[in-house]
Amino acid sequence: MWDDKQLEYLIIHDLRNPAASILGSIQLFLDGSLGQLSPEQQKFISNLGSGATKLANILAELQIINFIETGKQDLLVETFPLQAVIDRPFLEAAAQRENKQLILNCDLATTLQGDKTLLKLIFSDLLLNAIKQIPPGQTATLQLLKGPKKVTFEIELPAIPVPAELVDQIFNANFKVIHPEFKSNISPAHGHYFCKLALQKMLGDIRLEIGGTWSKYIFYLPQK
Amino acid sequence: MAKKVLVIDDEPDIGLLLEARISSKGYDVLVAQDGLEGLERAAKEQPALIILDILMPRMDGHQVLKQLKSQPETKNIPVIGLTASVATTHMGTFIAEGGVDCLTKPFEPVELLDKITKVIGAAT
Repeated sequence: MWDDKQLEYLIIHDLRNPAASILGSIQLFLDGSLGQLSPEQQKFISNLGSGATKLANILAELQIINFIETGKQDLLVETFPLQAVIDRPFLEAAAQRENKQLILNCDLATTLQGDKTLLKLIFSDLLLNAIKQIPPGQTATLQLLKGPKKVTFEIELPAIPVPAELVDQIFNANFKVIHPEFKSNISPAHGHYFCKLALQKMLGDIRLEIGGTWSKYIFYLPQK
Repeated sequence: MAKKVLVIDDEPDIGLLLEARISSKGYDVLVAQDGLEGLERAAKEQPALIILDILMPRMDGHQVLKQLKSQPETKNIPVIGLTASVATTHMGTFIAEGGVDCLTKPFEPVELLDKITKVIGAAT
């Protein structure tokens, strides 16, 4: 009989192959390797590319959750500029498509230490989630606070309707939606759980704060 | 004459994709669909580089790499691993076994070509 976690790993692994094939083929179209696209073709192939990138990211996150939960995920800690883990054009295009704005209010040349694969997924997940949560016409902002021993990031967006008693729980794997107002506006996401696990693996952490008119994802990473 | 790159991957669509990407830079690309075929073609064609999928049926990438490194006619051919796993442990193991580098699927085209150029230089 299959061990549940082993089966989960194999399914995710097998899904990553076709996802890689779809994404790679779309990239061939988009970079002009297969000839010039009309503006309409460009628009829809870009749309496909965005979907394939999200799919590949979800599968990577699920695989990392599986590895962390089974003790198989090792870290590869490197030093690199922030821009190496933030796909600015992809994220700004995602915001623009929904008539929303993303402001990266930080120096992308700032040096960071951490696992690049994990950080790329964390930024992509949280920033795409922020874009999804805000109403059209509004803005999400990323800020960076660099201290001597840790770097802290804040993603600020207009208030999301999470009841105060649930704020501490939304990063939990077993989080259940029980509040009627909450249920109508937001659903629990594997991405929150992934971000918490991945940050804690790097000895950092994440929390959500909610004020009257704003919400903030606040997360940090220790630095040497 | 263009340098040969042998791709060994049991997923034909990934093989096709790698062929399109790598040949666009002028390399001569050969594709084998399993480890046994890969070993035969490596010995016969003497490629400048092998790109080897790690998880394959019958003979996985670790076994193929071991065979390549044990044969005098293939032991000096550099091998880049290709994996759908994001675990750095898997990549570390492959490099410790004699691989020169490792790539994860989905791969960034620029990263793929940079790694190839770094290992064997330009196509001609």
